[in-house]
Amino acid sequence: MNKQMVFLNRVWIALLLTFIGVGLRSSCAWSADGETVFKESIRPLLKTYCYDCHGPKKQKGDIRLDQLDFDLVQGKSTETWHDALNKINLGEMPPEDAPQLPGPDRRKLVGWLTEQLRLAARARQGTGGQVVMRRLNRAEYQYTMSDLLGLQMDYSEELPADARSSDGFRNNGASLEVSALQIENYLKAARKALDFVLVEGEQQDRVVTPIKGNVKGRGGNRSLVGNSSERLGRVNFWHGSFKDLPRSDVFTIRIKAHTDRKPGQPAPVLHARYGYFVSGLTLNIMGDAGEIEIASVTPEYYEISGRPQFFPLPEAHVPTERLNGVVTLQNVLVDGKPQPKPVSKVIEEKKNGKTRKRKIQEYPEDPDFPRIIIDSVEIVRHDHASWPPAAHRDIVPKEEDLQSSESVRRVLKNFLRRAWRRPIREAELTQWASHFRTIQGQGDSDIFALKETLAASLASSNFIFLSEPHLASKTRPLSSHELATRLSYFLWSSLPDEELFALADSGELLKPAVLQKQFERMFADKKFDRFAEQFCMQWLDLEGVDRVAINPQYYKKFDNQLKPAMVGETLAFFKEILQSNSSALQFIDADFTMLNAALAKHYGLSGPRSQRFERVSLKGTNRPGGLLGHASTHLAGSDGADSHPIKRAVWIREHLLHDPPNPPPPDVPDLAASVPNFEKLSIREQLVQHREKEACADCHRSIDPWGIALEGYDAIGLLREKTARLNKPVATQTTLPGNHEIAGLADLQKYLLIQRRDQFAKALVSKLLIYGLGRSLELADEPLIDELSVQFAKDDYRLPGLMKNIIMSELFLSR
Amino acid sequence: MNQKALQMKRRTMLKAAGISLALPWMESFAGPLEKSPPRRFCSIYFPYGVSLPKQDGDFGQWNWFPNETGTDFTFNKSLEVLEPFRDQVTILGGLSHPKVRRIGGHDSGDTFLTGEELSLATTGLKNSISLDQFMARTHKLGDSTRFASLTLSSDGGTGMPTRANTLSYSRTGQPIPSFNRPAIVFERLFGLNGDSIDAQRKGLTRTGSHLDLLLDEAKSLQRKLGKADQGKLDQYLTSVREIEQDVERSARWLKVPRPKANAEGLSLDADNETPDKLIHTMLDLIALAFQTDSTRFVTYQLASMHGAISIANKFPTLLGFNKDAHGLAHGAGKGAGAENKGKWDRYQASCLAYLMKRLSEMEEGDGSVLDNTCLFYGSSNSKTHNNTNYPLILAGGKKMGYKHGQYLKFNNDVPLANLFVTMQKRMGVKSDSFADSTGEIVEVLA
Repeated sequence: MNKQMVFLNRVWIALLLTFIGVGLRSSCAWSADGETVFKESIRPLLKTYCYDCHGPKKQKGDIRLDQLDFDLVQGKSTETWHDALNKINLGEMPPEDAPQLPGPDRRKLVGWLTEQLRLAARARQGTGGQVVMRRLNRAEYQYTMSDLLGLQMDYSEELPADARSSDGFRNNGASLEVSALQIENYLKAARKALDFVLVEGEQQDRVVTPIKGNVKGRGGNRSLVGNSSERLGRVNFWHGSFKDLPRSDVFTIRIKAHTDRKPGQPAPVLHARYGYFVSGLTLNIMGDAGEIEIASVTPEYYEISGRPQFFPLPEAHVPTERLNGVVTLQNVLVDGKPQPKPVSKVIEEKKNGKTRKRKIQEYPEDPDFPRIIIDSVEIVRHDHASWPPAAHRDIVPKEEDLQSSESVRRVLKNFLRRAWRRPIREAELTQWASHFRTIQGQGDSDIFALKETLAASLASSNFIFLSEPHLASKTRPLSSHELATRLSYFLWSSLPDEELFALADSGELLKPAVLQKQFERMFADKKFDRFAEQFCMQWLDLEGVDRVAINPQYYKKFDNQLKPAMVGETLAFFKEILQSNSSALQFIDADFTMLNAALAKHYGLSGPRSQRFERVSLKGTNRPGGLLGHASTHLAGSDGADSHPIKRAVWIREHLLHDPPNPPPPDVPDLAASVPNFEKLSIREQLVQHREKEACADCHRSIDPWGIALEGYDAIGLLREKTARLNKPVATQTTLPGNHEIAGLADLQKYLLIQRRDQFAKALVSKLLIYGLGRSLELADEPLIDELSVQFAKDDYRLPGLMKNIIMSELFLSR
Repeated sequence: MNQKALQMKRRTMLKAAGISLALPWMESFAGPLEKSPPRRFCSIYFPYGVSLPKQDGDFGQWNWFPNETGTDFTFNKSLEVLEPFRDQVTILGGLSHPKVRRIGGHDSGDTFLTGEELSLATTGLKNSISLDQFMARTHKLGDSTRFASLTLSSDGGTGMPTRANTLSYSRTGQPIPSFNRPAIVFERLFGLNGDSIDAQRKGLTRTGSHLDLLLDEAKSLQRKLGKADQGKLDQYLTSVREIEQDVERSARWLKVPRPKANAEGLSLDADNETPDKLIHTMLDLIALAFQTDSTRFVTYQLASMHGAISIANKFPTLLGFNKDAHGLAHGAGKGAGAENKGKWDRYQASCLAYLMKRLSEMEEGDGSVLDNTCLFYGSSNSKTHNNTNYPLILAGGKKMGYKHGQYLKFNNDVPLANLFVTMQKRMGVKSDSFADSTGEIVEVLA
C-alpha cells in the first residue's frame, strides 16, 4: 500500500467515526424516559380533551393530533405542536362547548409542550458544541486596533452595533453577522489610523507657544467677566486662545497647575476642551480633550496630547489669519453639593476713555471646594519624543529599508503575525509581499504602499475573525496560538501581547503550570479591566439603563447625569468583588456598595466626595446591598415612571438564575379588555388579575412574584411607599414558586441565598463560560458546568478561581 | 461652458435643506438617458400596531382605521393629520403575511418586507430577501443611482433575529445593517472627497485589488473549515463581493460630483435623547436623498418591536407621553389607554405627513417628487402581539399609476405580498410574484 492510500484509509475511518458519532447523538436526544412520560401522562390528556375532534374520526381544521410525532426535538411535527400550545394558551382550545381542561391537567400539558419546544429551539440554535468562527465585536475591534497600532483613536465610530445572542452576549460567533458595511469600515478605519502611525519625511520643529488666559474680562468676550479666572472653583473656567491653529500632526496642551486643597479634601479634576473660533464670529467649536487629576499643592506640569483631526476642524478655505485655536479648562470635581448662587456686583469699566458702571454676576468662592490654580498654559506643536515615532518604528524598525524585498518580507511577516495572531506561512507572505510590490510600482511612496498593504490586511478574514479551522465534527485540542488568542480575548478583549505570543511560539503555553501563571499575570494587568467591564455590562444587560427615559412629570429633580453613575456603581461593585477575591454571593447581598459623591447623595448616604467610586459600608443604613439593591437594576426594570415588576422579574430569572421565562405567545389575549376598570388598578392589582386569568396564569405565576418583591423601589432606585402614577400604596408580599411566602427585597435576598444559592452559582458559572467560549451552552456541556459549580462552591464562590478553572478546562482547551 | 457642464453646475449648487429647487433628475450620468422621472420606494415601519378601540365606544374616534370603507371615509383622530393629503393616501386594512401569523407577536417585525417565516439554518434563524432589495438589487432598479439603497433605523446595526433593527435583507436573507446617526448618513450621501478624480480612480482600483486578494485568501481558508464556520465565511465572501460591486459603481460615478447639500437647518447631531429632532432629520435626509436622486430605495424602521431591547422604546416618554412605546401599546386595550396610544399613533402619522409635505414641495417634471415616490407605511401588528390586520398606508406615487383617497378593507386571507407584487410592478420590476403572493391588489391602481 502506498502512502497516499494509507492516508485515504485514515480519512475514511475518520468519516465513519463522524457518522457513528452523529448517529449516537441523535438517538440520545429523545430518551426512552421521554417516551414513557408522553405515553403515560400526556397522551391520556390529549385523548380525553382533543382526539374527539382532532383524531381518527374527525380532523377539524385539518389537524390530527394522534398521529403527530411526539418527539418535538427531532421530529417533523414541532410546528403543529407549537400551534396547539398557542391555541391552549389563548383559551381557544378546547372550545367553550367541550369539556375544559382542569387546572392541574392544563398546567401539565402546557408545561410539557413548553419544555419540549424549548428543548427543540435549543437543539436548533445550537452549534453542536462547536465554537463558530467569530468576528471581532466592536469593543474587541477597538481594543485590538489600539493595542496593535499603539494609537488611541475611535476605531469603531462608524461600525454598526453588534447583535446580541439569545443569552445576551455580544461575543457569540453564531450571532455576529458580517456585512459589506463592516468591511468597508474596517478598511476606512485602518487607513485613517495608519495615516497617523506611519510617517514620511523629516521631523518638523517642535514649537512651544504660550497661551494667554482671557481672565477677568481682559479684552475679548465680555460675557465671560465674573466667570473666567485662573482659580478654578465650582463654576469658573479658564479660557485662552492662540493663533495659527494646527491642522495636522500631534500637539500637546501643557498645563502648569496646582491645587489649594486641604488635607483630606479630594483632588480636583481638570477638564480640557480644545477647538477653534473664527475671528469676528463668537461661536467656539470645541471637543473634549481629556481629564487629569490635579493632586499636587505645588505647581507641576500636566500634559494632554491630541491630533487636530480628532477635533472639529474648520473647512480648508478659512483664512489662517482669522483662525484661532481655543483651550478651555474647568474644574469638574463633583462633590455632590449644589452650585453656588451668583451674587450681583457692580464694576467699573473703562471704554474709550470713559468710565462706566456695569452690573455683573459673580460666583462666590466656596472654601470647602478644592480649587485648581492655573499657573501657565502652552501649546506644543509637532510634539514627538522621537522621530520616526515609536509606533512607526514598531512596524518599520530602523534597520529596514522598504526598497529591499527582504526587508519588506520581514516587516510584513512581523506585522501580519501580530495582527493575525498566528505564524505566517511562506505562501501567504509571498502573496502579500507581491501585493505590496504592485502598489509600490504604481508610483506612490514606499510608506504609502505599506499603509495600503497593512490596511488591506486589517480587513482580511484572518484579522477580523477569531478562527480555529477544523473540518471534522469531533473536537480537537487547540494549538498554542489558538489558545493564546482565546485567552487574551477572554481576559483582555484584545490580541495576545509579546510574552503570550512567545509562549505560544515555543508551545510552552500548553503546559498547565505555564498557562496558570499567564492567567495570573494577565489578571494583574491593567487590560484586565476590560474583562470586568465587557462581561459585567453584557451579563447584567446594563445597557438597559439607557433604554429607559425617566419621566420628568414624576421625577422633577432627576438629573440624567446620574444614569452613568448608576451603571458605574454596578461596574465598580463587580470589579471590587473580582479584585478583592471575595465571595460572588455578595452579588445577591453585600454589606457594602461602590458610590461616588453624586450617587451617594441620591441614596442619602455620605462618604465619597468626588466622582471616583469608593467602597461605602451599608451597615446601619436602610440601603440594601447586592445587585438587587442597585439603582441600575431598579431603573432598567422600570418604565421611567413606575416600577415594571415583570421586567424586573425577567431580569432576575434571566441574569441571576439563567432561567429566562418563555417569551409571550402570539396573540396573547387582551387582559385589559376583559377586566372592568383595569387601567385604574395598581400594577400589583393588575398582576393579580394576570395570575387569576387561567390563560396567563400558567406562565405568570412563576414570573411576577420575583418582581413584586422589588416593588418597594421606584424607577430611580429609591424607597417608595406609593406608586408614581396612581399614588397607590405599594405592597411587596408575594408567593414565590414552591409556596414560599416573602415580603420585600430582604426576604427575596434571603430566599435566593438559601434556596437558590446553587442555581445562582451555576448561573454565574454558565454566564462566564458562555462569555469565555463565545458560544451558547448545550446539553453536552452540563457535566463540566456541574463540576465547575461544585469547585466554585468549595472555593467560597470566588471568581478568580472559577475563571482559572474555566481556562484550564477541557472545553476551553479544545474546540 | 457647454450645456451639460452648465446643468451640472446648477445642480451641484443646489442648496438642499433650505429652499428646494426644481431639479432635473440625473438623466445622463449613469446610463442611457431616462425619459421619465425616476420612480422611488420608501417604507417606514413602526412597532406594536395601533390603538383599536371599539368604533362605537367612548374612545372610538381613536381607532386607527376609519369607520367607513371606500372613498367616503372620515379620518379618525390618529390619522387626521393626513387630511391635507387625503387624495394622496390609501388606507389598507385586513392584510398580513400569512406565514408570519403563528410566530411570536413581537417577532414579526423582521418579516415586514420579506413575508417569509424565519427558518432555522446552521447559523441561526434565517430570513429571506426584502422587497426593497428585491427591486434595487435583484432587479437592478437601484443601479442607476450612486447608492442602490439606504437602510435607516433608530437603533442601528442589524439587531438580533426576531428583534432586528433593520427592514432590509439581502438576497441570501442576511440582515443589512441600518444607519441611525444623521451625521453619518449625511456624510455618506453628500460628503466631500477632496482628492482629484484621478487620485480617486487610482484609489478605487487599489481598493479593488485589495478586495481580490482578500477574496482569494478567504477562499483558501474556506477549504479548511467545518460547516458552521463556512457559513460565516460565506457572509464575508458575499460582503467583499458586494463592496467590489460598490467600488465599480463608485468608479462609474466618479465624474459626477456629489450633489452639494447644505447641512444648515439639519440637526445632524440629533440622537436618541432628542427623538423628535432625530426622526425629522432622518426624514429630511430621505427627502434629500430622493430629491438629489442619490438613491431610489429607502427603508426606515422607527423602532424595533421589543421594549426590552430597542433604545427607541423610550421615545414617547422623552416626548412627554405618560409611558414608553411598549407600555402605551399594552395599555391601549381599554379606556384612556386607547387615547394615549392613539395620540402616539397620531405622532407617528404626523411623521409620515411631514415626509409627504417635504416631498410634495420638491418639484419634479410637471409634478413633485412625491408623485414619483411610492411610500409604504405601517406595522406588522394590528394591536400589540397580533400578527393580522396590519395597519398600512400606501401614499404618493400618483404619476406611477396609483389611485388614492380610499380606505380598502380586505379579507384576512389576502396575503400582503399581493400588494408587494403591485408595488414592484409599478416600480418597473418584471415579475408577477413575491414571497407567498397569490396575485395582485389592483384596487389601488388608477
